[in-house]
Amino acid sequence: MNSSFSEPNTPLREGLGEKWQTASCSDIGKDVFKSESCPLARAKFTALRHKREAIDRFLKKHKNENLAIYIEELRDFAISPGGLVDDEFRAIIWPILSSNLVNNDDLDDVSSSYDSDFESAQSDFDETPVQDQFHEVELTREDLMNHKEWHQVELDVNRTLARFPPNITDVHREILQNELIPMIVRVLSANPRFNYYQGFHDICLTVLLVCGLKDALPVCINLAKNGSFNNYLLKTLEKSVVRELDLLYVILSRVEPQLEKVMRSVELGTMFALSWPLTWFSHSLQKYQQIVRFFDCLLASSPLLPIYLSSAIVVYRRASILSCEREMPFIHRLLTEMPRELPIDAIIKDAVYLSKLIPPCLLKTRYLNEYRKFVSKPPRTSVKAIPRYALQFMFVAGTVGAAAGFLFFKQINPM
Amino acid sequence: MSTQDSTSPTVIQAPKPLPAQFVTAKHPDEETTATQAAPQQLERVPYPVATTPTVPQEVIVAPKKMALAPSANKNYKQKRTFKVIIVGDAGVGKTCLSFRFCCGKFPEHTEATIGVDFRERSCVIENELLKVQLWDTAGQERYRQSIVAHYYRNVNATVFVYDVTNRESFQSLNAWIRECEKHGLTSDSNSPRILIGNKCDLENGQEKVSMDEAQIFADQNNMALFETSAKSQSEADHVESIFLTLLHKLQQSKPMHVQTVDERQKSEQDRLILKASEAAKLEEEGFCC
Repeated sequence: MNSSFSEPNTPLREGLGEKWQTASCSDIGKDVFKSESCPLARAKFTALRHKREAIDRFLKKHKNENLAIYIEELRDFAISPGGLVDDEFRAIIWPILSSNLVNNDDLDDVSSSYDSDFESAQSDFDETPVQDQFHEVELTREDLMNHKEWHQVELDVNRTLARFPPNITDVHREILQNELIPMIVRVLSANPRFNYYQGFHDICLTVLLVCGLKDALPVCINLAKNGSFNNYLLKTLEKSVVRELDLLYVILSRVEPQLEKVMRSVELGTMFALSWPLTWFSHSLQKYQQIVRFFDCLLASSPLLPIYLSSAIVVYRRASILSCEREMPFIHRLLTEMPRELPIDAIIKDAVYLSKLIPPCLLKTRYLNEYRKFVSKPPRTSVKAIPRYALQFMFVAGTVGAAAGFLFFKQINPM
Repeated sequence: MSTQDSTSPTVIQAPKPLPAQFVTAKHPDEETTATQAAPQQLERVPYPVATTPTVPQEVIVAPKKMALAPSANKNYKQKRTFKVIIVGDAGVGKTCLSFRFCCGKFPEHTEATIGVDFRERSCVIENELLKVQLWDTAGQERYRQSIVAHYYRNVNATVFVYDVTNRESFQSLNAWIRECEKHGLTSDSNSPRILIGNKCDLENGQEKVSMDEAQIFADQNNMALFETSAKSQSEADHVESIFLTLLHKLQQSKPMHVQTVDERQKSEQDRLILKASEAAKLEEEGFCC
């Protein structure tokens, strides 16, 4: 059984057909109690329970070791269906995943595993001074409050009520919100050139909810320093996230040309998906379980996976987009509103498949250039151009034909 | 984004004589008596979303009638769509105002807007179906240049919002006006601009932006000023009437054409000239991420 879970997430074509999976573990759990008659749901629930047991065994077995050695196994757990299943495991595994983020673009192939080992070893080296530095410069609350972004962060955090799962009481929520503000500002202080953006608080909040305050801070700092958020925090949005989102169309033009054409023809742009990579979907997904499941996967994959996930979501909503009014505002609204029920595992599978089909290194270079050329080309005229000598040919053929006819009739019916 | 944050479906009602002028429009609350008398033909227009929204239970329980809502089967002499953009600093209440206008209530929780949200409402004025598309934008500085800029195209009206209890948000209006003018939305252009001071129900001593100085500012910039509160129920009428005033203005401004091809091309050209220098800069740098 173990092998089935640790098997690499090979891209399977069937993955694209399996659209009707239930969102995530505990949602399945609820469903199974509601409708006990459905054998498929029960099978999935059982599979998840087994996975849960497998992770539990794995963690117990390597309790006294440095789990970073087993980073590949942990990544497999995180990406494969069901993710890390339980917040209890997430709290242990997220810190390890975050300090060993995948930096190279290639998700697959054998050589990359060596690379990533090397990189993880390297990042371990990088990590230690960061931690020390952080402990040396112990910022007081006053220091933090003087940070230029304090007010903006405070404003955004105070508006996050809807993001908290329903099992958290109001008192608990307020405590968490009060902890979250200084935490985010601490993360921002890690690099004086960091510029906060609205949405980064959603990331930190998710991590805080899962890992608790003590572990959340290093996780967030790692994400800000080494993850895709580094770009968003350092560069302008135009130069970071908007450029990444342009790749969405490149992917779509290869997998769903019809859809891409519709979206391009209404000048939809990419703003509908802006919050997706910026907040790792935590801003738009409606269920806590969906959010953490996406985080599992994103923590274990290449920095460009959010774009592949976005593409997979757009492809999943193909039918609604095509049946929607062909106007930019309506399609924009349709896509910004994430459906409550999403087959998260299937979408992740699709995204991973897409990232192998259209690898990031090609996507960012050759495919992007090809797409640009393709778009800038003026639309081909529907009437086929007349070949150069067609008119002359017609004229000659007509004359010859008439002459032949004339002669023919003359022979039949000589005057 | 939660479902309750989105535009609530317009309630379609049985045909009834429309008020002669929009000013006489009654607030949905006052009209409920009329609804009870009329045959109950309330219907919900479904979203183009594939799923069933489960959260906004209250909306279903008490479907409020929106003033001037279009009736189900009636032909209007004209249909026009207006694009209105709402700008202002973060946290001044742009989302709440647009929600109040489009859905007739104050949203329970709003989150920071990331990028732009879109809401729509249809109104009937003088037998003309008018659709208002409200683009609710992110307020943070970082989103200002790169993101919101995409949405200034073909805008018919601009709503500037500030928080009366927050002087900073009032002071940065200048920057917002400059930003709009950069995209061709100047005071002398055809698109009307209005200024809304939000949160007037809050008491905040000296910090408060006085009505007088706001009025001076509005006059200087050729805008109509309104102070209101999206939150307080008593001001609900007011929010409604502000937007309907704007709508009326839009309707009157250019009776027959919202935007002719020539106009669009001209404004597009202006925009392109303005953008040319920025674009040139962008071109130089290759893709990197």
